[in-house]
Amino acid sequence: MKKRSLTRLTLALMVAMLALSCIQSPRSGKRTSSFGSTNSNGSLGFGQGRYLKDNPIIISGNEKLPGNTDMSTVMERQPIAVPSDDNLFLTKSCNKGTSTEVASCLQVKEDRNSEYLNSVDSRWGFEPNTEEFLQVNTFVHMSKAIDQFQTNLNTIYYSWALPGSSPGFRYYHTSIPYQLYSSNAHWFYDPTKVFAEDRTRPLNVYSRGFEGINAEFSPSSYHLAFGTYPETYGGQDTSNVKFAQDPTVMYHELGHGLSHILLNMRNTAASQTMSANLGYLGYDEAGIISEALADFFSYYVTKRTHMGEWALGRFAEASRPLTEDDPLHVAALSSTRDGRLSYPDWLLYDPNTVEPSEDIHNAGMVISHYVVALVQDLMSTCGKSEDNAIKDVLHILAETLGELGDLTAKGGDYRSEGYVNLNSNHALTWLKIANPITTPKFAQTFAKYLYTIFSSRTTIESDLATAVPYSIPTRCNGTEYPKDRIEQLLDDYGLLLFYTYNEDGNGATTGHSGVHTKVATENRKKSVLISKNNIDIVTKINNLPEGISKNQFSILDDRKEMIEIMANLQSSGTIYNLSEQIQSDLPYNNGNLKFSPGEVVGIALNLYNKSNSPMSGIQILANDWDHFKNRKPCNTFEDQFPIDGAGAADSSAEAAPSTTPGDCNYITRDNGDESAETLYPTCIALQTEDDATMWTNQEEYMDAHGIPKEKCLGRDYDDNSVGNPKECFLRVIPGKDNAVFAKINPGSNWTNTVKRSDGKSKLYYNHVLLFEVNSWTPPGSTFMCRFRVRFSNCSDCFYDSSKNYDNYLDYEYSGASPFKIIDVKINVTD
Amino acid sequence: MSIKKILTLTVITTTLAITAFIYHNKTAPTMKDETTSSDDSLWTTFEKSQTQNRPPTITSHPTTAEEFKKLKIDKNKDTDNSTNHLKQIRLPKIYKGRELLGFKGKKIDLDQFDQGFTNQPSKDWKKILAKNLMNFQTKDTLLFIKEDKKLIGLKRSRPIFLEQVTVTYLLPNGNRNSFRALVDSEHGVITEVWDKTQRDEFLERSGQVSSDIL
Repeated sequence: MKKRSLTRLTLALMVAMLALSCIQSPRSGKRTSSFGSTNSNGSLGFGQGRYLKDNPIIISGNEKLPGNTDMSTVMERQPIAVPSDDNLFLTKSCNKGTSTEVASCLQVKEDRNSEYLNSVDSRWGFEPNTEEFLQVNTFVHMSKAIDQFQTNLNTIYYSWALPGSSPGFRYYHTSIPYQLYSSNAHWFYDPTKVFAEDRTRPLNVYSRGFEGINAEFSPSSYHLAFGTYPETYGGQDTSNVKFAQDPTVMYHELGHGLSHILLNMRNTAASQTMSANLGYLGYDEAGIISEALADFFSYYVTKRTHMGEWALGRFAEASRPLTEDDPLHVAALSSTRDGRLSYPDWLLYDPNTVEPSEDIHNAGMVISHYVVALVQDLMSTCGKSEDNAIKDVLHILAETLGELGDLTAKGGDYRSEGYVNLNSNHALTWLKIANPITTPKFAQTFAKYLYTIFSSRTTIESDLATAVPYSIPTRCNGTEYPKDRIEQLLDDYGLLLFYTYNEDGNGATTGHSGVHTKVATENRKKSVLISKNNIDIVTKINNLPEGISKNQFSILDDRKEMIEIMANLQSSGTIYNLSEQIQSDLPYNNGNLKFSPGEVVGIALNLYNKSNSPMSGIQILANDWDHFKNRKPCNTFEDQFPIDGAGAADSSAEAAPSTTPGDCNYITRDNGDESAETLYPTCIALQTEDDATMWTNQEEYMDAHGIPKEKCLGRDYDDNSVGNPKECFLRVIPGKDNAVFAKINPGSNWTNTVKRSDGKSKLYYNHVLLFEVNSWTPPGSTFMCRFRVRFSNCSDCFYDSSKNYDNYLDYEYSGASPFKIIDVKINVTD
Repeated sequence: MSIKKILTLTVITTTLAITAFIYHNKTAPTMKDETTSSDDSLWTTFEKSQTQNRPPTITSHPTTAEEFKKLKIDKNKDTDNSTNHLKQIRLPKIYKGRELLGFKGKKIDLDQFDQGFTNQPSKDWKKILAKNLMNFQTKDTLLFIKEDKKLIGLKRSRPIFLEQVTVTYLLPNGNRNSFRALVDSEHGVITEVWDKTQRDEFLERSGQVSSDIL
């Protein structure tokens, strides 16, 4: 009896253990309902999985798709090959098996903390509502987009741009670097590694990177991360709404990364330490371009002229069209010449609301619509397929970004340093503040390459040793794409904001001596360029209209709020290099809406547009510039401040312009680094001596009041000591030394331009300049800050009328000529 | 023991062994995240602490494995790029163990160069930097500083010792901001910033100020 029991028990145990080994490991996430398609491993072949072919709204055709939709009802039933290199993890190489391979190119996980997802029996069958399925979906779509990009870049390099030979084999200077592939500049790279083969970094994509209705791209940690909705949003069930379910949003976010690669091709190839970025403030025109190109990358993959229907549009009413014919647009917009989404008229337009919106995503629609319209125009004018037209536009974008982001300042392998961004020592400063990527700059450079590659039949640059017989452009149906067509389409979008194509660049010695093909005046019908004399501070406006505040600026000095602002700007890397004297609890900030000693103060200038046309991309610069001679302020600029006898430098014996460094009429060629040239801070002090008032630099004011140098704000790098006498009392904080306003309507100020129906106009960090006020500042001190102001649709902010409206040379942005000088008096009270 | 019993025992043991073998192979393989790398020592964590009636202090320690998890840093970044490129390697110019930055086109007299430095490296540069970067942050904020490169740059035409770092903030609201920066090797002051995290705020913009509107 006992023997039989033992035998039976043993047999039962054996059966139980064998059965146990067949049970699959459990997965996270919700279990499927029984109504949609299943995604079991049994239904998949080796290396296969399933995904969402598009976002759920497009797949289902249901614009009101609920937020708790079972993804199995919209999952693509036909299995696909999941392009994992090893069929174990969601990782892949790019350009596999070629000489341009990037061994570790893409890695997808749920978030940074999670383990890498592994397949089961080399199959990717996961329940469609799970995080695992989301990762597979993310991986498939990212792979598709990256492969398309790399394939097209390959064509651009090897078939069209052909870098590595001087013009003679091709017919234009390309900005694509010859070392694009040998230096791995075609993917993300770690600049801290010495050798090219060590530098490549995979793009890490986190399908559920965080909770929140946004997404992010981080160039310093090589990652994209997608957010997710909360359980409910706006009163609706959003329990199953995730950004990584919407490929258009994923392509948009990847678009930021691909733009970064194109912008930094030349920097990577040259082993530059620093990188260029598209956008440095919360709102600036480079940021607009960044969003426009990211939207374009959604179209680039899907060929659909709308993005974000599910992740942005369905619950947040924030999806975006890419053509005027989209039903989301207002009726006033159309694909006719008069109906285009033009700059700057539509800059504050949000198709999802009637309220004005100063936001880079909406503002970016002008350029995204333009590039899509260009694709369509290349199709109709040149008989191209949509695929080929899209590739052509990518080519032009690559050239444009490659030049504009070049921190070697050459813009092309065979160009001289200084062609763009001043020089390699100060290129980042030029890109960030002095001559940043604005709408007109982007449009001009884009047009230059479009013209050069698709239209031009003649010698375009005079730096060629011999006249070279150029190939006749054949990219448009065997012939050239008409120059008029380039200009007309740009003009339809209000983007014909330049006078020449500036083929000779902005170099100090070559910028006016080469070719700069003129834009045909008759093609500029919609694009309006207005003189910088039309902008001024409200206090200088006679007969200011009713309803416009007479205050020269809004002021911010509340202690609690300023601490929060400083914390946010500091943690985002926007401000840095604060003075040691400024204490973290801002004990002197008293919220009295005045400048007081010891405070950190923010101001937003109240500027007025005197013209009959809207002004856009208004930028106020408060950084150091070349406006002093022998420690005295020059009055040779249009503001003619200060008057002779009130402290102005003596420029009576100077030539105009002068070739003598140090003169008022001479502008530094090297951002103040050459001897006899020094940049001075924007703000100068008013000193009273013997009943005479004199405007003077802050150092002399410091001496006059017996303030020791070490009590000054800032740091003096001339002798490496605490306290910079030049900015002793009133110092602009680096990083918040420039401000941007999107638009000012004619006969109005910014506040009234962006005012919503509730009467509110929202001020943001990008509008504000930040100042440190020394606690040792004598109460009653007066300063004059000589701000330099410009705006994007300005006829004489970027173009020199004395040089036939050729572009200003880059070094001139250290001086006054490209700007309207607006003097703002600041009193420091007790 | 009888032969029958021995046979039974053998069958049981063999079955157990086979079952164990099958079960072991069903366990999912994992992709190795290297938990140690030569980069670990380059990371430092800084925290702010404050006791009543005393000024806040910044404390630091080498970043722990637990903190790497919290920060969600992938550290396995050495890739095998055994590709067949046409190699044109550009070696950076190195002096005193530091890469030269911004010296293109400039002639260097080494004697004068050595005399003309704006600063001298301090072992405390990172502590000073951290103190500066935590200046306005709340005590729930974590700051991570990773040393990237040692450099010599130019400031007002004079050489200056610089450090290149990657700064990462882990904010109380869960956001993670990072950027690259150049830092004065003596005074721990940032001189340049780039590659900031780009957050796509599709709905409401952050960064609003409440100043009296004009």
